Amino acid sequence: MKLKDEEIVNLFAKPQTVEKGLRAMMDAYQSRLYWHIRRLIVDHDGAQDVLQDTFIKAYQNIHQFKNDSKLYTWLYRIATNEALQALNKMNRMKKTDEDAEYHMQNLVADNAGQDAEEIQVFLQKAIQTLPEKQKLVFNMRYYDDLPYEEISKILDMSVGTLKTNYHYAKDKVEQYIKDNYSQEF
Amino acid sequence: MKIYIEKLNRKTPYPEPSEDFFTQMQANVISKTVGQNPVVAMKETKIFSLNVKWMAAAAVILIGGITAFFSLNNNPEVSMAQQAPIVDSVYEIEHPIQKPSTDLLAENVISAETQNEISKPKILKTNSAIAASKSKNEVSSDRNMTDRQDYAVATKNGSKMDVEKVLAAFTPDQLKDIDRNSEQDVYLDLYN
Repeated sequence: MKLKDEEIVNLFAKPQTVEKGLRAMMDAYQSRLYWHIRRLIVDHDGAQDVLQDTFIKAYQNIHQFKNDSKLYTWLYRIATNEALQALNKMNRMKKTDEDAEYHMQNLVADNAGQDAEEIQVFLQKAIQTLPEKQKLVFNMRYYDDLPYEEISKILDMSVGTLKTNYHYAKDKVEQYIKDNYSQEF
Repeated sequence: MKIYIEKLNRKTPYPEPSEDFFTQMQANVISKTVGQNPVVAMKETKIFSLNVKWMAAAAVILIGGITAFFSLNNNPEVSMAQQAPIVDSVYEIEHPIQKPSTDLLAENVISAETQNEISKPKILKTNSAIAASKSKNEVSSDRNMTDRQDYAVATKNGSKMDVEKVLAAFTPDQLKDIDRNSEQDVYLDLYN
């Protein structure tokens, strides 16, 4: 049975039910968070590490969660921070002088499934060319279908700024696909 | 040609993770969080409901008890009654000298010739034992005396009687010796 956010948070209040609460929280949001992280990190193993760290951080800071916001909004925020930290770490540890954008595009090609549509691969490559904020807004709006109000809470940005960012991001992606994707559909 | 991404199928090109991926991930998270701090089953403490009436009653009893305790300790009459009377104890020490002295005399007479020093502690012992028993019996009667001076006079008279008895118990030779010593004392006093 799927528990409500409030019920999950209440389970953390008693030491006897903390594990149950943590499991309920992971059951409810692990898939959504995994894909959110995966689209940013691209690599599966990297995404797994970030997802684990996200839930560990959530467990450690659950007492800071206020019920005035939604639990998944709070979890998205943690996951986004963890993913950006991991990306920065990856860039710092990169041995070659390879461009970060180029590196991520190669990573997309390497991680794409065999049955993946080519346009989907191009779309992901195009997303990797976006600036960090536009990338985040685009992913959350386009793939997760989050309302601007929720994205605003996650990223601490105004709705107007988010709309502008999304508009620019969409234009860039479409332009990238137009320039690089020859096949008509 | 312009491509409208809004019309595309919103799928990612990455393959789905394996079935046990999330199970494994959950196990890892649990081991790193709850697993490190296992929950110890705590015995629930009994919670008493706080009734205002009972609390008020308990407070009154507590205050009453504390005041009674301190007032009892501060009352000089009570404390005097509880203490072993210091003055009376002096009399109690003197008392045993009166009566047991007769017994002592009898023993002294017997032991006068031998002058055995070993017998002395024994006599002292019996003396103190008698004193203790006597004092216990007479404590109540002594406390009834309102004037301590009367009590002192009475003891003085008693001691005179005892002295006479002691003198009667001495042999003439011993009396002569004592008399001689007293003369010497007077003689010495003259030149002091």
